Amino acid sequence: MQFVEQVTETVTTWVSNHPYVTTGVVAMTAAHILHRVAIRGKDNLGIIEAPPNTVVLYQLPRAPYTPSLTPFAVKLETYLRLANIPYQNDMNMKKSSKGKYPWISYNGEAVADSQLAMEFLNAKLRVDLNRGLTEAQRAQAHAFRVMVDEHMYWCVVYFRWIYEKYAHCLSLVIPRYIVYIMKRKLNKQLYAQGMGRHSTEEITQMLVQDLQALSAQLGDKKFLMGDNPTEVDCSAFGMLSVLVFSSHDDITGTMVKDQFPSLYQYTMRMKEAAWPDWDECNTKGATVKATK
Amino acid sequence: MFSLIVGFFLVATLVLSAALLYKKSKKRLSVPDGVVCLYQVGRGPWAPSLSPFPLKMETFLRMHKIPYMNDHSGVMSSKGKTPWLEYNGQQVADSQLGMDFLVRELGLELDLHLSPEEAAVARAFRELAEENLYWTMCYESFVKNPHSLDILLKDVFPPLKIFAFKNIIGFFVKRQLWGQGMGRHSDNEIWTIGRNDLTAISNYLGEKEFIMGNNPSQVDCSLFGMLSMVVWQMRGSRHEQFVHDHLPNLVKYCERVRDRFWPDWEKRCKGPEFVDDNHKIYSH
Repeated sequence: MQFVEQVTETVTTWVSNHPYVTTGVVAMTAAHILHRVAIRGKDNLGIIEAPPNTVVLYQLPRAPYTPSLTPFAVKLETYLRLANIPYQNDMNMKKSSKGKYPWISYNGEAVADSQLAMEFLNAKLRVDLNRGLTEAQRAQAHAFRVMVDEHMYWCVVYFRWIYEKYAHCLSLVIPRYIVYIMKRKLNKQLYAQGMGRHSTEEITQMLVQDLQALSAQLGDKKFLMGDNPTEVDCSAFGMLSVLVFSSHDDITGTMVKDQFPSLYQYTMRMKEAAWPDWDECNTKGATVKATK
Repeated sequence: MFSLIVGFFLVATLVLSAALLYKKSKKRLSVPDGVVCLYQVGRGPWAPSLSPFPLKMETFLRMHKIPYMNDHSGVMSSKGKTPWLEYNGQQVADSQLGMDFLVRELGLELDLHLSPEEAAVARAFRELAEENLYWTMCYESFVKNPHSLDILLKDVFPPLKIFAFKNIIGFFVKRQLWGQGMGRHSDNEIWTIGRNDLTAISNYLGEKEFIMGNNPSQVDCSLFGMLSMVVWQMRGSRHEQFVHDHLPNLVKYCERVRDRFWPDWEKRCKGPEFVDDNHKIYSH
């Protein structure tokens, strides 16, 4: 009892000696709790009403030089186009239940993550961009997809957010102070994943080796697995488009065009196949509003 | 006063636990010239390592008959991870960077039997295992079923170290899972990803002896390192059950690589025939 009295006395004295700090802390805590209560529940994802059997693709607004700043949104939207799945965009910066972009909703059901969304739609709509591939070829394509999405991606993140000091493309659309906050967050992600522990030279080497592997896999073919685009081409195009069109640093800026001409041509080929309206789907260096 | 005491004990527990696990060497180990020193976390009960990456590296050293010795003390690399190597005074962190370094230093002719296309496929499968499947395995062991770690480490670490390992390493693994992305998925989604990766490796392997054909390549070291954990050391996991029930070619593959490069397997596992090989030099 005496102990409780002592503690109460200490706290009361401290609070009366520091009224502003105390008010600040209490106000922030209350605001935080209210905010968490307010955003609970799936309705707060912001799923919108759409015509039946139309996918809603939630992503960032159109980017300066590509349809999206994130390769995964380009990947997912390329897939929807190649598979002829009716869709509409919601570019109001609504994060998924997993805190990221892009995500989809279909007839009211939300699916976060580009790959999980594709698998969901494949099952629901009986879509199969990989038809015609043997079991071993599907396995091979799967391995390349993971190489691009789970390894190459982190090299690109490093160059985009950390190495490129002022993050040119991002600064065109995102205020500098938010870029700064995001840099810190992404540094932590890079460290957690492992890529962030390596030097710039080591990361450059890894990116070059991944591009060499993609180039070798492509060979003389039109697309990675043959004459027709398959699912892995969506991933590869997403990543390559961001490297080709949105890199402005001295290492990756012209890397694909200079060192991997076949991959550069492949990127153009995919752009023509899935994005004939490419010029309407970016803001031309943040100089115009994208019309689509 | 009370809060100070509680705070002190909390901090002391954390510091002690971390110290049990994270060691920086106080004096440099004397490594003979021309011998690779492989720093790793220690032998496992049913495989020569508790972790896939040291097993990958050690299999590589054996595959290319590179003289080497092990240091099982668990000292971390400059990048805060393990395994890592030291060769003629140079230290290299990260298993793949270490292997690339040795290829250059020793002028190794690697994977000559692979065409550029095959080498590309090999790289893709290595990254499948190390950058995707690996995280599903971390989730399974540290998050889904941490009790499996008690079983794994029963005869390997003292009880306090097991506690520290599960909780401290577990804490960092969970943070890594979130940062990397895997940790944001649901349990079912993570398992589906793991299952799809295992199936892809099995489907590509088919009836072949090694992943790229009749001869072993560098990627077999990675796959063997990762799959050995699944086949022998993830007791009670979904990965283990799935592989044994549905992907027998992967089990046979692991046995094949084991028999080829690890004739002393039983002595290198912490079982009844275990023989400590700390600092023993392997020359061929």
